Amino acid sequence: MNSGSRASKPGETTILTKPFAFSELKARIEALRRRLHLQMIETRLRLGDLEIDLFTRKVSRGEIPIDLQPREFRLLECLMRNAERVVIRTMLLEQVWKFYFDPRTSVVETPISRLRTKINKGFTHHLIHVVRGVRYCMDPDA
Amino acid sequence: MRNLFRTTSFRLTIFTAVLFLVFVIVTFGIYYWIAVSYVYQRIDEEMVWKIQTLTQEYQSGAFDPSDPDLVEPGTYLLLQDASGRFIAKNLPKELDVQRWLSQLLPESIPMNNASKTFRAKAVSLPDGSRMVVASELHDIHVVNEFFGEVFVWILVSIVILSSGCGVLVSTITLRRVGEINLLARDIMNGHLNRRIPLRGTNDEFDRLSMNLNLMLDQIEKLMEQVRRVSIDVAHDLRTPLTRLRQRLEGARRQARCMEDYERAIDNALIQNDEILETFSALLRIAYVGSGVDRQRFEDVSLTDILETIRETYEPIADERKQSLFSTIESGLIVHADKKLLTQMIVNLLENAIRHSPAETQISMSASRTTGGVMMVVADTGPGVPEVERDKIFQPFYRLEPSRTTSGSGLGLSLVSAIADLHDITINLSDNCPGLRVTLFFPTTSTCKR
Repeated sequence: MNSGSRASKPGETTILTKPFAFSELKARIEALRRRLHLQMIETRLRLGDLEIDLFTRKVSRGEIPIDLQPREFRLLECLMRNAERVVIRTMLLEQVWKFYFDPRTSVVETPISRLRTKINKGFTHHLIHVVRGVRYCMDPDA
Repeated sequence: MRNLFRTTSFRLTIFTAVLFLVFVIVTFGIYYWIAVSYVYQRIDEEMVWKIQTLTQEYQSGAFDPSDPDLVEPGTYLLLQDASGRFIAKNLPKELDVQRWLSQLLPESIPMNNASKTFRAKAVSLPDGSRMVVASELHDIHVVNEFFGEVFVWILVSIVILSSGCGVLVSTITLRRVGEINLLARDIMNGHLNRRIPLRGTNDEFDRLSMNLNLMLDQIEKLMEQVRRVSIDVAHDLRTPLTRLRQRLEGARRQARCMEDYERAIDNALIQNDEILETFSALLRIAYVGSGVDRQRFEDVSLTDILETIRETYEPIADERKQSLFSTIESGLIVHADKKLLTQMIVNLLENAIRHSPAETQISMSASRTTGGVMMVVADTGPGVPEVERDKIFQPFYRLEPSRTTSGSGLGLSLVSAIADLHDITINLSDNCPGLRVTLFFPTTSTCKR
């Protein structure tokens, strides 16, 4: 229900309350470090042959445009920004849905699976990986 | 007995008695003053009449100073002609004649000396003679004695009566307070089900007892809740911990390769997370219940929250072959903690989704109504039997069919805690079929601008 973490303002300070899993702390610290490094305004994010334009909100993979719902776009953006790193379900809930608790239904799983279907349509190489059910990772080389 | 004198009612009675005494003294004083004035007036009238008679007799020459019946006993006379010679004089020795005459008293005055009180009146006659008539104030003594005696008796009876009343009233009070004290001791000794007996008189003691009884009911209810929650927590956590232990034990015995161990550890982690989640939920409920979040309340758009939730849950409902409808009025603002409010609505909606089969229709609506905002989450699922509707908000309470579904049994407890924090009223009713949850946000919580 509650992820054990609370953010007073999304994107500002994240407070992890006890008890928390070490893996969650690690993932969050890495996300924060990346945010510090990537302070400049990026208008394009690229991962392998997948490219998203944050300004025009267009997504394409290998020149083929992909049509995404606004929420799917934000989900993809969040995963792209944390590319090659493990993203925890609760982090996605907070950043994409502004849900500071753990829903009991497949709130994250269903959109992720839809997103994966859309991105993989016509391709054999998977970009979004599911790690042990509740963690996600975008990696072109995996 | 010492206790008796130290009671409030005894002090109050004594205070009243003293007040009554003052009142009696004042009344008595006025009465005495009227009586004495009347006696004085009678004496004065008599003396005036005496002077007039004697003056007439003296002027007509019929005055005989040697007549023994000239004045009555207790009345004295002094007559002096213009040359200063005393014609008649039977004033008692105690009276200072010279002082009297020199002052030529026109009005009667009280005269005091060691043993007797007199009242005298003096007149100057046209030929230069002076006449003084004095009267012993015997009547006044009688009046004084009478009043003095009566006053002492009244004083004594007031003191006795008021003390008696004080003791009586205090005894009655002490007895009832004593009953309450005894019972309080009894309750402290663990008999929490004892109640103060009422007399049905609806007096202040009855009302006090009634309120104390209500307070005891509340305390008993809370203690019962605490006791039950502790038992539930112990029970609900022992089950998954036991299961976890059995699995680990099984892995220890049966695992033959690395993969087996890894699978066992993964399973253990998932179960461990579930246990941690129960703890987090309990802490969250306690935290919300403490009312701390109230300081963070702000005006939030209920419409926006509901739109986000609708958009998020439409695909989830779709996946389960359920349909989600929503009628959300635009521009609904409530004064709340946005995160908690979102969680509350999501919990209710997820309950509808998770505990309903396919083909269920779930609806979510919100609109303005008199005195606030009304929100409804309804489904056409199995519903909740009427007798269980109050209970489902209790921690760990789960309906029989849902025992097997995953979940901590704390979701609705959190909903209830969040609703309490926001002064939101929750009403459960039959949706024919299904469950209909109505939330009412009163104006005080809807907007504080």
